[in-house]
Amino acid sequence: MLKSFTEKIFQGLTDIKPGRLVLSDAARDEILYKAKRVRAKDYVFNFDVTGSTTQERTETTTARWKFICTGVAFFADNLDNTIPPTVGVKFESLASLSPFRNAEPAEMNRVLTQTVIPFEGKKNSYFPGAHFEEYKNLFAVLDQRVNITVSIKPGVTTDYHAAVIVTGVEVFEGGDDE
Amino acid sequence: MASMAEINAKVAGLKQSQAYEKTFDFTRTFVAKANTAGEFAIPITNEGPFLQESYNIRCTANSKVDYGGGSVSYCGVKLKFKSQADNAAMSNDYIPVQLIGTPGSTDGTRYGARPFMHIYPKGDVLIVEYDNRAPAAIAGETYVMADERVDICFNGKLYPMG
Repeated sequence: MLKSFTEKIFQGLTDIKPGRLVLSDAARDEILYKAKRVRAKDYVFNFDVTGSTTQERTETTTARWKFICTGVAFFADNLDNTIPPTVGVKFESLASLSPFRNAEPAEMNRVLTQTVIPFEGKKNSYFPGAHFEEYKNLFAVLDQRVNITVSIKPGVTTDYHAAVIVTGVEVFEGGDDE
Repeated sequence: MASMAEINAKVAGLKQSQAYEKTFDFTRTFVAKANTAGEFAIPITNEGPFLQESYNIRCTANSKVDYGGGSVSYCGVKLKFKSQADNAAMSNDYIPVQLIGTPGSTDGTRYGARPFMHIYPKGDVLIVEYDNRAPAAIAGETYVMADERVDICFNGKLYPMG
């Protein structure tokens, strides 16, 4: 049962639209219901964006806990986005399908999905200069030990602090240890 | 008609089985002192497990930043959450409250509650770490940090037991 759900939701995160549901509520509930443990997890990428250099950073999700991406959000504190920066998000699985679990060479990584999003952001008067943008209501079941790589290519703009959150839940489906 | 004993037995059974739930919000307000970092613990209700579905954060913007054109309001508070029972941080780094919070002014864009699901076992404690120190200046800007009031409302469901 879970496998068919996984197949259904292994859809690329390209062309994400806010509010788009990848799975029905019932399908999501089924996965969460069957999980032995569920916990919240944010992968946060903080950047000091200066000049025109593209920056890239990678975090690896927890071993033996499957990561479900439920949203991506961006923030910049001093953005003059005449030409907005672009933010790239890539998910690569490190989990092995071989008996040598967690030990395959890096070149064996499977790219699960990747996308590049122009970041313009919403302004507000409460935090002048700050821009915010969020893609939520996703439910992309990824894998355990997923490499999340976020890159920022600055546009024509000022220097700024930026943060990108890849938010979601981790589910533990059972096994010999946690 | 069921007797009171039967009704009581039924209610007790429901409680033991976690077969009923009630919506539950718990809130916390604290002051992040200027130029300090710290943490505090929020005991979650002992009634039963709590399913957190989202949280909503509001923060004052008393600090100032000046990029050269005069100072403007700024909020530099960063937050990190951790469940004591799970002993794992819910983020790998501090998150700027400007990214996860709802601006407090009436004309600000309201982001609303942010989905964030976590199941806390009965008796768990939520640990909130905060940092209200100025970031490194990267555009020649200057910061004047001030105390900030942070309001957090955790929304979810409670499963009372016994």
